[in-house]
Amino acid sequence: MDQKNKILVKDLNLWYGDKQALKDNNLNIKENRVTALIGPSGCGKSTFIRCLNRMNDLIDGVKITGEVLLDNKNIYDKDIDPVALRKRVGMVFQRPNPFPMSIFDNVAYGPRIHGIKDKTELRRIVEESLVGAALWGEVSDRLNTNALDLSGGQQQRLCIARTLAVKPEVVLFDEPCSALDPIATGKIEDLMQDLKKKYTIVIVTHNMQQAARVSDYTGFFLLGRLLEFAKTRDIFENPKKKETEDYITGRFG
Amino acid sequence: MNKHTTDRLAKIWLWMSAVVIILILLAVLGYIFIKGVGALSVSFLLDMPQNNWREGGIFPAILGSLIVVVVALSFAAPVGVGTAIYLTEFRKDDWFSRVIRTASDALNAVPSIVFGLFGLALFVFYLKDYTGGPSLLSAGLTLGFMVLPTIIRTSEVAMRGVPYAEKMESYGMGASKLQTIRNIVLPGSVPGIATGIILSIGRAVGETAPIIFMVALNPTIPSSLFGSGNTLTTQLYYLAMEGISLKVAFGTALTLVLIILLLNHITRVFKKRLSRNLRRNC
Ligand SMILES: Nc1ncnc2c1ncn2[C@@H]1O[C@H](COP(=O)(O)OP(=O)(O)OP(=O)(O)O)[C@@H](O)[C@H]1O
Ligand SMILES: [Mg+2]
Repeated sequence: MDQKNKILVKDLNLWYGDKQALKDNNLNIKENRVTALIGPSGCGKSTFIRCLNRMNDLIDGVKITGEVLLDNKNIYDKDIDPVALRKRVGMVFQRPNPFPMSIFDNVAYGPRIHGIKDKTELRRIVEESLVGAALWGEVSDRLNTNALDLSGGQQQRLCIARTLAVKPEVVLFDEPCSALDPIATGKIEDLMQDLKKKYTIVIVTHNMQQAARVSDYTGFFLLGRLLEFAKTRDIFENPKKKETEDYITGRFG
Repeated sequence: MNKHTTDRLAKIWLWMSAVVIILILLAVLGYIFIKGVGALSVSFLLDMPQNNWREGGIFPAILGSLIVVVVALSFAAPVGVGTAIYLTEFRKDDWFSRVIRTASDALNAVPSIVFGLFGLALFVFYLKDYTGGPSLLSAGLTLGFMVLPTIIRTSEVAMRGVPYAEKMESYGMGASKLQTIRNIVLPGSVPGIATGIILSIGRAVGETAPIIFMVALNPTIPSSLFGSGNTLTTQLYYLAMEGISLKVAFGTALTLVLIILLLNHITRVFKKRLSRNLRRNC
């Protein structure tokens, strides 16, 4: 059974000033699946996922050509508001950056931004999001303490909860575990399997085992190009390109 | 000379400099304290002057100082913070922001008496119909011009200290620029902005030159912003210059010094809190 395409990327190019960072990328991201993006440092993975919610708009001197269709609508069309788009396509960053406020206020930040004021409604969303991010049990009795007092792994799950609270359709993860220990990493990997039932997930990772464990599809980037894209099992067991094979077997470079 | 002796000599020199500083400080503060403390009392602060300042209190000057500071900050705080937001969040480092920064630095270097002359020309003469001429309003606005660069600078530094990552997280959740400024940038820079505002209050309270043309010696409660009044500094100047009452002049000086010391203390508390906040965000 083939899954619906959530995001279709067509001929995507990106320049930082006059330096081209992404070249002619085409890719489809399936709904309710985990898509992993791998590749050596500096090949453009972060740049690529930032194109999916137009975070690159915030960087000076960026020029983009091509199309990114979200549910068949190009998000780079003139009538698309990037602010509204980012409500639908959320992002979890490499390092957890809780705001210097309480745990509750961190998670309620997004809903409040989007106009929810009702206390009970906010409380419901905060609980639901913390449960969704597998953090509720650890913090339910101290929602009013400062989020900066949480451990690194807890902070990252808090940031996931914060993103979920906005009720996005797609969640982008840019190396969400690179600052975490194996136990915290395991928790977040388990979480992905739950999350994909409700969300479409794109994750950038440097960890081959992680890509193999959590993802359904994998794309291999090299020098700004998506070199190979296939079902995760095919990429890892039967890569078509020599470069892909070298990279996943650690013989790269 | 061997290393040991140089070491000892250096230590003695440093020790002596410290002692000299303390002596100067004690001399100035002590002198003003001794000369002024006799005049100081609650009624000195809250009573009207009597008999051409020879008796009674200095309440009009305290009220006048308060009014010009409020006027100055009502102008300089919103404009200064607004400029800082504009410089940090809207104009990164282009020619326009460089022009504003250079202008602000230049403004900061202008001698305060020149501000006074400018205020005289602009507020007292040119805008007379709106300011009431040599009024507390004119004085306050002139002081507002003078402290503007301080507020811009301290606010800008504070806003640049808000982590880039926090702003990105906010945008990533679908917050607009204004929402991000209001919820992330401003709360994160409150201690820094407050420090700048308190520093500015201290400067505005303590300056005489910028307002010497607008504020005369006036023993009455100011009738309105557009009317004349006097402040602690100008009163001190006139009382001493014209030999009206040295005792009250010293009482005024002591009041002024105590206010400034209090403001400095508050600034230090804020700075400490600011550095603690920054450490948390690392
Ligand atoms: N804001 C920027 N301005 C200019 N060039 C940039 C910017 N961000 C990234 N680049 C450049 O674009 C290229 C791709 O960077 P990107 O961060 O997307 O790589 P990455 O695959 O995510 O690397 P890593 O695995 O190290 O995170 C790099 O050459 C990088 O130097
Ligand atoms: Mg990256």
